[in-house]
Amino acid sequence: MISVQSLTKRYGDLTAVDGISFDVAPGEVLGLVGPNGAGKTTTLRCLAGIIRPSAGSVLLGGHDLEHQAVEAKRTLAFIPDEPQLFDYLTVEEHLRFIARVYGVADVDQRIGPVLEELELGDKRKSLPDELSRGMKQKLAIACGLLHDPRTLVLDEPLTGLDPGGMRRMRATIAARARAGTAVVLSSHLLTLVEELCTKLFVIRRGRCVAYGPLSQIVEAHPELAGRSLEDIFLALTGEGEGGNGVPRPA
Amino acid sequence: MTGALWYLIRTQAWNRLHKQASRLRQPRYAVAFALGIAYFWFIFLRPGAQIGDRNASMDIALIVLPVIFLGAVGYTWLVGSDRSALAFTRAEVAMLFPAPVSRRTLVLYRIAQSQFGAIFSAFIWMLLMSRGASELPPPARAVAIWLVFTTLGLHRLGVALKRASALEHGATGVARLTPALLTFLAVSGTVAYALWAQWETIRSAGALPAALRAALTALELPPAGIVLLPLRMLFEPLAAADLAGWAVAMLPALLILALHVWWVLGSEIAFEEAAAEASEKQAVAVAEMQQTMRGISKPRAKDVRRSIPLAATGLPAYAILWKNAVWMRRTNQLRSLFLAPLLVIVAAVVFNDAEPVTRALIGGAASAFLAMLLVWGPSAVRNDLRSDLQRLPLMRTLPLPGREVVAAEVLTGTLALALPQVLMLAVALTVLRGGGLEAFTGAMRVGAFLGAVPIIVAVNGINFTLHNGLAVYFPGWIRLGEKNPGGFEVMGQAILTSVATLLALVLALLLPSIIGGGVGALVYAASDSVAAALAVTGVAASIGLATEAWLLILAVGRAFDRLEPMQVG
Repeated sequence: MISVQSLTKRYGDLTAVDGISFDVAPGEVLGLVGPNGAGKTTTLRCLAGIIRPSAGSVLLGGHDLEHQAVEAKRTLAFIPDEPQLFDYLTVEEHLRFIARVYGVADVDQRIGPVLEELELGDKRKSLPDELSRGMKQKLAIACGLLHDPRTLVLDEPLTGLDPGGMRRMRATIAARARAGTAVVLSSHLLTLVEELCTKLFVIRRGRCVAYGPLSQIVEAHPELAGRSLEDIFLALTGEGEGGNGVPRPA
Repeated sequence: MTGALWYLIRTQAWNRLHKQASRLRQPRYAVAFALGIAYFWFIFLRPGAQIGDRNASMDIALIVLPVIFLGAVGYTWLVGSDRSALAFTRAEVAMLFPAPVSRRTLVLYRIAQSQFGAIFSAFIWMLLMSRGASELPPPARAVAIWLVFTTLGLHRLGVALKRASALEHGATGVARLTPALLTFLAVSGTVAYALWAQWETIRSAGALPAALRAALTALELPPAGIVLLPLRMLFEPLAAADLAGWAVAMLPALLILALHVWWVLGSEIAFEEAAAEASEKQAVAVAEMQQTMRGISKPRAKDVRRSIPLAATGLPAYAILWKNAVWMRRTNQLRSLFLAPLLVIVAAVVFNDAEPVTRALIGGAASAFLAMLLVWGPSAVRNDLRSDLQRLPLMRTLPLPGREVVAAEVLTGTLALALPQVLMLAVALTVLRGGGLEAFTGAMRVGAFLGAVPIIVAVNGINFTLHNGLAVYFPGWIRLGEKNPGGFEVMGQAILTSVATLLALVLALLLPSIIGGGVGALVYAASDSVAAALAVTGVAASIGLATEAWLLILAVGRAFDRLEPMQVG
């Protein structure tokens, strides 16, 4: 599972994330939503161990990311919105590299199905330069999923994917969650969030605005009952004020 | 539009300067900056620092700079201009090329932009040449150096435009290029003939500075003296002994600069607007070609055959070493590292029974190559953290402690360099015999070899760790990427990096040398065997060096664990 307690990240005088806490149990999908600059990517990067929190703690699969970084990261897959690949490794070699780092002994059996699932079967020997943006994203996803992570952190996972790829990705995330993976998903595609997420974490200016299953959030804000997720999001983040007339929650 | 571009240059420069200055708020940047300033003051500026043969050092600088200039011009014409001469950034291509900006304005923008690097490099060279005999005030010397760099930059830009034009216009373009190429070939031929005609004089001059001086004298005679007149005019202000002489010499030098400006801006009026974009493409192609020549080529589809197997299980950090090794295979860097050693080995085999002088030459070449790789190898082989920091988010998500990441990154270059180095060591120890070296017996050579091999590996380890450490501790000051940054624009920065790593390397060598020497002396006293003493000295010193390297790796690993993408960007 993923457990975040009082997570704070400061850059000099700027507090990007301000004491947020949430838990994601195995099988749950948490949707991290908020306007641009709200602190979503900073939060995800803290979860992935890319940046160190200024305060607070992150537990991945029961391991403290600060003190047991290697064990914690071994449970994790982080799929960023901008795929980061090695220019000189082929598609297959990327997977072999990841397999070695994560100790995936049966990599030979896994590579074929993973590549076929992501429609990269005929690109096995291709270098990243020869791949389209969407294919690079698929490769990053394949690298993330190869070692069967128990915790999955996704930052705008559908960026660059074609409609077929998006559908498969949605199915993959749902299947992983059903299999017991704790998932944190950040996306501006609210339909994706609505479809996949079992609970929401709405963040604005680094602080938690709302947290919990959508039904609970609406329960706490009766004026939002019957509204679309988009309206709820705009109201909670204050972005709807003066725009479409959606009232802010009390 | 020119106003907008000027605004762009000004604000970018200011923001960059501001960002660099703001880094000084961090203690480690502040301390490093203070140390750098102190070093330059101590070496170049403190009263009494100008020691040694002032005339000689100035003379050598005045010989070396034109040689570099000539080499750069020749290289530019033959191989093409460096990417930095013309290439625009992605943002510039995306925003400026579709904008209503003329090609001439774009080129002017590029020239103006390159001035910051030229000025910084001129400042560094001014300090380096401050030991000279010239009474010229440093600012005047800096202006003279700036003029040389700017002219060379314009020359490279002009060549890049010419070649881009040729690319755009096909056969007509190539025809346009012909007179310039013929002129260049004629100048080169004249220079080569002048050197050939005076070869005996040059060869008999003795030491290298004297030989270079003799070569320059040969080039002052007609017809070489006539064809090289523009070059002399350009360097005359630098050679001036006083301010009055400098002022007089500046006029012709400025004329050369003005002619270059005219050439770059006005010689291709018919050149269509789109040529600038083609130039960018051309610059990228040329950059790839130049990388190939430096031993780094961009891998193509067919290169994927050059792979290395990787077992799925085992030490996880080995995957990083494997990744880097694959990079070296696919970019031809491994091949280029072994090319010179192979030539030396062939020469050693062919001339093994030749006279001591010939073997001394081969042994000297092997030793020189070994020393060169030991000191500067890590500057050329950069596929470690210096390139992987560009993918820091990915590297940081790997379940590996920082020390293992650093160790794996360092080990790749360490081992890759060690192979040609050991070969060169073996060649030197084999061919350097006779001619006064009779006392150096076979047993001693074996002892020296056994002692030197671990030292070579350990020195590589320290050196690569220093370079990686510099990138991790000061990512804002180090240019990241597999390619060694080229061009005069970044020369100043490259000099600073080299000085810093060399100083650190010398410091790191001190204690292990003392330990090794001490242990070796004890062994010699006990056994009376020079061979054993040499071997043990090497092993003891290398243990000391390896310990230092490991401690450094631990420290750099800790810093890597704390490094954040924002610090690198």
